[in-house]
Amino acid sequence: MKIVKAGVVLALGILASAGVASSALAADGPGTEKSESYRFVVVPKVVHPWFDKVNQGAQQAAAAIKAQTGSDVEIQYSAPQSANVAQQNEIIERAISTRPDGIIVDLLDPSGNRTVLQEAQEQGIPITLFDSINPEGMNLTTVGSDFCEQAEMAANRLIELLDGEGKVAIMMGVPTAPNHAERARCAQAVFDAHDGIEVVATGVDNDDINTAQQQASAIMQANPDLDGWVASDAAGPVGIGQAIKEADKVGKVQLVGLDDLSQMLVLIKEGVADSSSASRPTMQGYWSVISMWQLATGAITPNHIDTGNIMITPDNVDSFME
Amino acid sequence: MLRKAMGFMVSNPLSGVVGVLALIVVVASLLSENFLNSYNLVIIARSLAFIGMITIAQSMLMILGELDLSLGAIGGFCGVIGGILMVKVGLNPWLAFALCLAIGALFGLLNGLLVTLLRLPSLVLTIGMAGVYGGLNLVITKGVAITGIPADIGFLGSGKWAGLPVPFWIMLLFLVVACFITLKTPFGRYMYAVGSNLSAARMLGIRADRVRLGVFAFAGFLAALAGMLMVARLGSAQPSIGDSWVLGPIAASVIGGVPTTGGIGTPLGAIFGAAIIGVIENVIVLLGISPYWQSMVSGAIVVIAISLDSISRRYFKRD
Amino acid sequence: MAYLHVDHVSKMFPGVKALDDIVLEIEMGQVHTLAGENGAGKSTLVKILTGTEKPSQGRVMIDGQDAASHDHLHKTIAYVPQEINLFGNMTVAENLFMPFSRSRRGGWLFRRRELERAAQTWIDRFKIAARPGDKVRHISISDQQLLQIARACTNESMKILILDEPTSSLTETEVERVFRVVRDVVSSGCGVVFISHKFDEMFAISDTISVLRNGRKIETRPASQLDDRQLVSLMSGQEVKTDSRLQPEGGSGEVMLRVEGLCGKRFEDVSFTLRRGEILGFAGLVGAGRSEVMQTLFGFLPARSGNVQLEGRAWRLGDTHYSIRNGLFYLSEERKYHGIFPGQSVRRNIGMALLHATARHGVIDARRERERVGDIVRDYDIKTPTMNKNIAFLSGGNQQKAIIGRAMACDPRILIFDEPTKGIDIRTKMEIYRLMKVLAERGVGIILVSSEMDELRRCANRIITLYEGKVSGEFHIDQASGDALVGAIHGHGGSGHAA
Repeated sequence: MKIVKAGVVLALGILASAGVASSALAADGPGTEKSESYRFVVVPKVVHPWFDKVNQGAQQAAAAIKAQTGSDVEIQYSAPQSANVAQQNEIIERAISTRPDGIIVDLLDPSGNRTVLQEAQEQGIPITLFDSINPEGMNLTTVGSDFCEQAEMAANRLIELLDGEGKVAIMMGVPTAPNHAERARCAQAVFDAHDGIEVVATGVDNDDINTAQQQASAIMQANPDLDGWVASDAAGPVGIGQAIKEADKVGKVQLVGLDDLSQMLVLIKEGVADSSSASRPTMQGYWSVISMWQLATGAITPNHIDTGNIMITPDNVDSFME
Repeated sequence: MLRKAMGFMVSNPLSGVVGVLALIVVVASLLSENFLNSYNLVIIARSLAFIGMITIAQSMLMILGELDLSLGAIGGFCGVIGGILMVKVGLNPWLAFALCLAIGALFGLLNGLLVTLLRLPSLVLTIGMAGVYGGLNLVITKGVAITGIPADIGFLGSGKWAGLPVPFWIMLLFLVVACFITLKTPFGRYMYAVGSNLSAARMLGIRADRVRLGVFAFAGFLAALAGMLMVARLGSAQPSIGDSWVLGPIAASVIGGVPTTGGIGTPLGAIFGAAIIGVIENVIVLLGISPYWQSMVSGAIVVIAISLDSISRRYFKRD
Repeated sequence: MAYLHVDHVSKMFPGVKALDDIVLEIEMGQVHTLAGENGAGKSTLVKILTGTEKPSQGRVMIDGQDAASHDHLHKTIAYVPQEINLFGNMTVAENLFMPFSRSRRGGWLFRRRELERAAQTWIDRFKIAARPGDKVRHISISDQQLLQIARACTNESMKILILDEPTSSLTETEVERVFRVVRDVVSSGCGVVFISHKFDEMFAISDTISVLRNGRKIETRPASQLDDRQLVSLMSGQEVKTDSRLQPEGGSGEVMLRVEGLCGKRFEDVSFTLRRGEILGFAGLVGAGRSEVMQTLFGFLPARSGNVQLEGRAWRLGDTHYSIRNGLFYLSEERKYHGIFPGQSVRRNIGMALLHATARHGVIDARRERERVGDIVRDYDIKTPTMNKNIAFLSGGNQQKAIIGRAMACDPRILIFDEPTKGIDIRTKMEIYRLMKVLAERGVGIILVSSEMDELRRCANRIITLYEGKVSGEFHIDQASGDALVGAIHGHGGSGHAA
């Protein structure tokens, strides 16, 4: 099974060669500025376990840079209390006023965040994006994986499990979250392309495990012959898994989850869920910091660093557990 | 002279909240060297502008003894309607802006009508209406922001005048209007009468329902204004605008001397309350306090602020 | 030495000397009445006796010990406030023993059975017409009043019982029930401090009467050595003319207000007329529907049916704004609930009705408001340090004067007074009576709802009696014998006997 996307390897390669090049060639070329310490602010969408993993990766990168270069890297993690563009903008603004060496952001909405990002640039503070796309007319380095691909992986896996035939349901996350919406759309597209598969229901869980459980229970009540589930956010499959257990339908209803929350991993170990299509938050945090640091040293960073998606199955689930 | 000043401070109901605000500002500037830089002050002014407009609206309702928990949803919904009118319909942005304010006032009026005609407690009714407005918002947008707001109105949201954000000046303008209404007009007196003793107000022939409708409509107008200014600021109509405008303004009003039971306090006091909350939230992020602790810390400081105010009031009354 | 000894007590509030060198002894087994006008210092003295306020000078000696250093001594003094202060949605038994820790009915579990059994003995002793399990809001006002007294008496260490105007919302027969209880308490060896504004009650129940005026004690005398006249002059410090007849003169004019077949909440088919220049009295028991009729007429309560005409023109019901605009005012007996705006200043409370005169182009002119309110404060002799004082801190009489003054400022055509002198001292009472007379003579139609027979006989030209929501009699004052009136109040038509 393909675990790491080629893009990541490529990015590693670019970085490695950049390092080699700078030491071998011009002493004042791109990426040669050195500072004793850096302070980067990480602004996720909201307080959420998925972003804790991003933070973890960011801290790992900081430690790595310290170990390799001796420069101190401080990671300041500053999360909005709710997933709200205005609130996230305020967090970014406050980050700007502490004048950090860089801000790493997961945009809640590219168009809504645009003004603040411009403000940061006017104030001379570099920005790296992760898990999101560039606002119109901006060209910032983005780090992340392909949401559509992630959802397609899950949908295809479910079709495989059902031998190409059956009734399935999709759990939407937060309807206002573009990445959740995109995943739902891509999964739907995959199902639509298979004649044997019928999407009989769509739930909305608002990225909340309890809501997901209630919605999933209700949908399974209404559709007793449901065969399988996919989800569009990290909380969704955890709630669905609990609902499946409660309804005593383990094995009868298939679940292909999303992302790698610890409860998700447990569900896979228990056999409630078959597998989970995961983006790699730790890696996103790690590479965001590496890229940010490179930018701060004067290097030119790539348009996009693809951290890839991975299928977590019972075979490899142990390597994700801590 | 000093005695006189002290006397004024003790007798003025605002002195407590202003004192607490001053204390927090001093502590904040000692804790973070970034607090008093001009950029940060602009940020504080701007966030106070939006939450402030909702606070003015909510505090006026609270003087009446009412609450409207759907103000945030009205703001968000009006913003989205404005976005549709400007982008999809292609209406003149200024006309769309004005139209949305009127629609906001209508929504507020609708809340008021339901409260007065059905004799429902506004708390419960407006929780329901928040669902209705927020739901319609999602139905129309499918959760996707409307982008491409004409740049003409952009300066209303992100422009500056005399060094401070335009929305802040607009908020101040409406604060003056609100204080004028509540303190200088018969209508304002009726608000306090209805909030302090509804039966006595009816006994005096005050048409309590009309007063309520007026304030609900004005509150809806202010919510729509905040929503539209936010649209202008973001350059896009976000369905999530207003989500965080629900509890803060109520807490701000209480801190600023408008109890939920109604009858006393002023919008001015409520704005000071909002400033306290705004400064606390700003400083917490400046200090880099862990996001998991932020709610707890800001909540605790708000509780301390309220207690300080009430303790000082009791202490001074004793003598 | 007496059980309770007030030893040269003074109490200072900012700017006011509320009590000035009071010396007083309360004996066990006696009823000691505190008489005085509103603001004479009775309430402050009571607060000092119960320990809620500390004296600025002097001591309160209880059982020979200084109460300031033995706080528990205050617990032997039970206090029953003037207003009903019960939990309406809880049962009689629960109210009796609340808080359960105090009445030693606490513990971990709430034992309903046992509580109600214990309550029954109190109910029997006080002859309260209720069962232990009845919700308090379902029992009558007089039973609630008795229940309040009973609750105070459940305090086993009680030696002195203070009753603050226990009869102000009761009719005469109901008052007798309270007195029976008071005598019962006295005969068990306790002392009773009684506060009232009604002279007949004072003389009926008291052994000793002490008179307070402006924070000083003027006199303490056995009740048998005092009469009405002396008491009035002691209380007011001057001769008060207590005219026996204060009916407006000049005879009745044309019909101003005609009410036909008015039906509403708790009353049926009420018809009457009000003539210009007369005071029309309404008598009846508490709960007979008098206030409801007036509030419906005023538009505060909804009417089911009925036809009302004011000066020949059809009158709209159900809209207080219309009533006020057209000159019909209702002054409620429930000042706290229907009259004042607590938390607002005297100026704002009065100014609320003057806005038509003080606002220009929709803006209130603060100077004009100050002037106009100042005039009313002066004209109606409202005692307040400044007009910016919170009205809730004024005495009941001064609140009442503020409310009357406020209504007067609007040039009323008809004024309905509902128990206007409840809890008000004799001098203010007389002022209000004279005011009604003057107004009636000036052509304002006056309706007076009262539970005090004396008040009605003194002021009204005609009296209409209500019994259980229906008109049970109509009397011209010259033809109304006491017996006939009392009979009509109790539903025995015009001919009955006193109950």
